[in-house]
Amino acid sequence: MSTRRLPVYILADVSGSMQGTPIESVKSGIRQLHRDLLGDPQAIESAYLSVLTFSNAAQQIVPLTEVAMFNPPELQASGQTNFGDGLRLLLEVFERELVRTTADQKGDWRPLVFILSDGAPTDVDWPVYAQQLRERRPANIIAVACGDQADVEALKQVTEIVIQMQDMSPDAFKAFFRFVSASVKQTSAKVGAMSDGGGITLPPPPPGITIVP
Amino acid sequence: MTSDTPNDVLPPPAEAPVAPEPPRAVWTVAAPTAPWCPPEWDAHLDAVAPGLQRPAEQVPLAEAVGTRAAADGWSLLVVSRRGRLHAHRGDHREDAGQMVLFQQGWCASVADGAGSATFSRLGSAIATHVATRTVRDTLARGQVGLAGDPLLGLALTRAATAANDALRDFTQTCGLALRDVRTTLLLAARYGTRIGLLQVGDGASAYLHHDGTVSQPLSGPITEFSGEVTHFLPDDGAVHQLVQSLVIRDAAHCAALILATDGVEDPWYPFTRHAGTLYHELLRGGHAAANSAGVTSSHHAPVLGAPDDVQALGEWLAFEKRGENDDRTLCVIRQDGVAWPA
Repeated sequence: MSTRRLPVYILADVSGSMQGTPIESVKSGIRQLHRDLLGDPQAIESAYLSVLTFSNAAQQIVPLTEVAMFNPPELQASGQTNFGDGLRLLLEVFERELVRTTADQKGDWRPLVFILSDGAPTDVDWPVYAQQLRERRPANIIAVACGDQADVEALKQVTEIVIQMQDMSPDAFKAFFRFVSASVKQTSAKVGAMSDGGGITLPPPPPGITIVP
Repeated sequence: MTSDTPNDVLPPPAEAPVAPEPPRAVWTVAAPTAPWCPPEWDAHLDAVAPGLQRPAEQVPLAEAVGTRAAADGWSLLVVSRRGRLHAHRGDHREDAGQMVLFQQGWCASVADGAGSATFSRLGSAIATHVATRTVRDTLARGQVGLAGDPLLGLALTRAATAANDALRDFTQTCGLALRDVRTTLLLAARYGTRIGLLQVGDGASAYLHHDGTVSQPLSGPITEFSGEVTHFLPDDGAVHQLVQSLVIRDAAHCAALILATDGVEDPWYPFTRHAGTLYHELLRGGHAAANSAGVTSSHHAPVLGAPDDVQALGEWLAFEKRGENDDRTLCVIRQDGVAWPA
């Protein structure tokens, strides 16, 4: 009898290189995303947001929360880029939070995950978790390479959908979070067919953001 | 002990802080701006689905359309209602429902155009129209050497192929991709004392027996997450799935047969558990069944047997459940003289 949710996870790199304008832009972007979703009745009824971060270690800053009750979090940037711990935590929260379909209940919609990173992993374990995510396909994952120092190849190990944000200006982040908002609204309407590999149809990315082939 | 001194007067209780109301979903209703079928494709549509009625030819601007029929001891009612999401966005309904009567039988179908497909509304309309007419025509013409179940099976499998072919012809003529018209299809036909069913994609059927039991002749695959359909017409392999799903049952003890798209099935999931009470509610009114499924309904009067049962079912289909705002199509087929236990 429970509501079928569209879980939306934002896994953000908050390592030291994100200090200053980038981390402020991510925070502002999450606030903007929240405001946008509050204007969409289907998102209010079905979208649930969660924010996870990784630097020296990963943590879930906001557990999966319905849009109407979501509070945009404070984020601070420092430390290394433990990408592997971020991916590990993602797999862990999927197990803990997602509802799968059974003979008795309808499950959640397939989650949408946005991974933002501006650098290269500093840990060695990340390929193990990247492979698990690729093989299990527990979510539609969109990885975002922020700026020209991001490790696109590492992100490609996690998902085939990698987009490149050319610069890390506030406007670029703003445009990206508009894209996230449009993706959530579109996905909450209806997900794609499994014959597409469980994939989704994303809105066209805004200027300054390109899909990495 | 009492005292009148002001210092002993208890202050009025402080008002509890009032938490701000969380934002609520505000739904609007907008008429579609895009044509249901682009005018340049009208002739192609008529070619693959002769006689297919456009929505505007039925009841202009209606949120729900439907039809009823009765013959040979059976009553059929099918209504398709635009979901709140499509109404809010000014999109067309993507579900479709059709029925036809013929000598010794009937055929009914419901379909749900894929949400990710640009012209799935045409896909579901073409598929239901062509499939039901093909069953009717095949059974009317007959087939030398065939009768009973083999003939019913032939009619249904021909209908599957004809619907798939019509969709493919239409996409080819219009320069569309197959994925642009993707649709599910759930098809049921009675011929004499037998009922056959076929299904590809999601949605549900329920067979209500005279003894109060409910069975599900067809069941789609259970996927890990919601809304993920394994096959749509006219994708490669989908017609094979459709033909392979054929089941034929005895009609003798069938009090009712229900066909539903996922817009109805999902809020009432699991359908086998709720179909009996859902039917009971349609037949006798009330809202206990809706409550048990977590559904809120403002239509508590009986639907079946109402003076205008098409309108009544259209109103009933406006039931609410958080997050469930898809198009809804429901077909209820009843057999006279076979009672459903109170």
